[in-house]
Amino acid sequence: MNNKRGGTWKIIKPYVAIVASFIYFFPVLWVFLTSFKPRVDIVTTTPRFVFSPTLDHFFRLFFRRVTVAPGEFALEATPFARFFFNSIFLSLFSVALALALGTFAAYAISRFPMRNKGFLMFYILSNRMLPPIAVVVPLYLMYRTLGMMNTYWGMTLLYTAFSIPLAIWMMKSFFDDIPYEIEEAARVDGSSRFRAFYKTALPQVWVGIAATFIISLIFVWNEFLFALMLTGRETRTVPVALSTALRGERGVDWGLLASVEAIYVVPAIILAFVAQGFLLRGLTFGTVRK
Amino acid sequence: MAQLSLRDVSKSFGEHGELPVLRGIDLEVKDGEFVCLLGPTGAGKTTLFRCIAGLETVDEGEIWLGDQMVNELTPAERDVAIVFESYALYPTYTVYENLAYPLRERRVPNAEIKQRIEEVAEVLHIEHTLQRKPQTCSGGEMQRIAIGRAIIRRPKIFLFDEPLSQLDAKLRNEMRTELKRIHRDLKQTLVYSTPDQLEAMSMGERVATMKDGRIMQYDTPQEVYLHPKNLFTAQYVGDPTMNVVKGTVSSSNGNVRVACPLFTTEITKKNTGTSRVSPSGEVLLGIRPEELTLEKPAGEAVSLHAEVYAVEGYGDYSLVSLSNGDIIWKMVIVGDIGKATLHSDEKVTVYFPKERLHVINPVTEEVLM
Repeated sequence: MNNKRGGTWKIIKPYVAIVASFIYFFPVLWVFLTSFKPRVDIVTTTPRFVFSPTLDHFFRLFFRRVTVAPGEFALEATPFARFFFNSIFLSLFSVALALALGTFAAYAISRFPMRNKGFLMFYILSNRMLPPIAVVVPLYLMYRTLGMMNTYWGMTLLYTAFSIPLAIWMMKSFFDDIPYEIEEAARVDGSSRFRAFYKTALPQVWVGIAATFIISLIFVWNEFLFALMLTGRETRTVPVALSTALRGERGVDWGLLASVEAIYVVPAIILAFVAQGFLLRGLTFGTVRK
Repeated sequence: MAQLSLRDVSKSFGEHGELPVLRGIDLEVKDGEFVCLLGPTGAGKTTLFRCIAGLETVDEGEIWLGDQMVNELTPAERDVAIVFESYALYPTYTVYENLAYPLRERRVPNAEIKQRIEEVAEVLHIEHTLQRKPQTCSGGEMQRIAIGRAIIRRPKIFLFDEPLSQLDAKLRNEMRTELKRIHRDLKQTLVYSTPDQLEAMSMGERVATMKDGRIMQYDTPQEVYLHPKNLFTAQYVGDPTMNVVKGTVSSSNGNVRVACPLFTTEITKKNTGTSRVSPSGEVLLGIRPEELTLEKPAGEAVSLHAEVYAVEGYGDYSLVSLSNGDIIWKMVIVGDIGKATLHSDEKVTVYFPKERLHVINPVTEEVLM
């Protein structure tokens, strides 16, 4: 009996998975389709899956026509390219910085005896426990007073601080999982502590670094609240631009919105796909092994 | 190449040093000698090694390598090689790079590295593994790679920390022979720790028994076996364990009279330790299972009567349990005759040579004679 039920479930399982993933991915799919649809196909009341695709929205996202003289138009770049650059730069740079600092910190916490280690780790994590909304007002005042509003370094600092706790926690679990004896063997073999760290320990946690990098990157990539409050025209990131810049006089420009989203989610999706092996190992590392 | 001497080395763990692990270790290992540290888990063998290698600092005492006091040197500066119990091979490097690692850290030219690896790989029969990652190798291969990584840089001294404990029994026997041969070829100072008395007795030129952070006895395997200095050594060395029974000693006209429920005998020994027996005369009497025989041996022998409790045959020898009241003694009978001739509940008389009787002070656990 049992066997038979298991057999049926085995057959059904992939279909359940397909249905579930379709439910999850349908909105994403719809955004993609919308970004290629002509305006008339977007605003119809019956959803359309068949249409003649256009790149018009993507074009409008980066360029706009301005009238230079009667009957003469010129193309002018919209600030969107810059917003994309801001998003990419801020997330890559701050996550890289957080990961570098976090890896060292995690290694030290994992390997050296220190007092109140548990409290220290809790304290580091408590940074992430506060809801962002609670700190955004004091941060706003601080940033304004210190002249850090609307600066790249101000935002980098913020996102680095924002990413460090996760980096430390994740990296510590990776270091905890690799035997200390290997580094000790290296030290006996003639390495300094630092060389033992980067020649033997670091190569063993590459998976962890990759996983931490991707997870942190997605957090910063999606961050909205701080960016909304603390960035200005020059340092604005895409999520903020999306919410503010696209509300034209004629209501929401759905085509434009969809094209931004399509561009914005593509890197995240590609990253998640490429790295799903890492992510899976990264998230389960230390919990299921051994 | 160097001799090693430890002078009153102590080490405690815990925030306030409340967990003493090494308590005043004195040990001299001669240049080129093979010394085994023998003791159960928790005796402090690994900690002692870590102190010698510089992975732990000592609280007190001095560690000398050759004519240099190395207490303050980093592990890299000490030029000691360890083979860890877990092997601790570098999982991200190939076997070749594992072997090259200590040489690269010492900036040995590539050509020489290649040549030395070839030599070592040949000696250890690991040529076929060089391009593989260590975790794809078998236990015995990993073991040899770890040894290779230690011998390739010709350190002052080798420390082998229970290197065979992860191997199965058959491989362990083979590796024991291999290690003896490697040591004979290298003629380097080697300290080897093991909880297995068979390993220690068969490999070490000298054996140091360890318990609770102290060295209990340090002597040749023969001496340790024949003349243990304390109850711990007497019982830890030898398999099956030495039989021990409570008894008393008393002096009677110059001789020492030993009595216990199993037998009474008189000993005339020059070196009688009776002065160190407590006034009540209570002692422990020990005799190894191998010393008991069914036939009366030549020379002075002690006899005792017992019932056969159980017989376990091991093919080439039998282990016989003898009972008398609530005392159970073990006896080894070589050859399978024992099993065939002895039956449970059978009454037997067994003998042992008088000079093999050990008299032990039950309080200090010191072997008196």
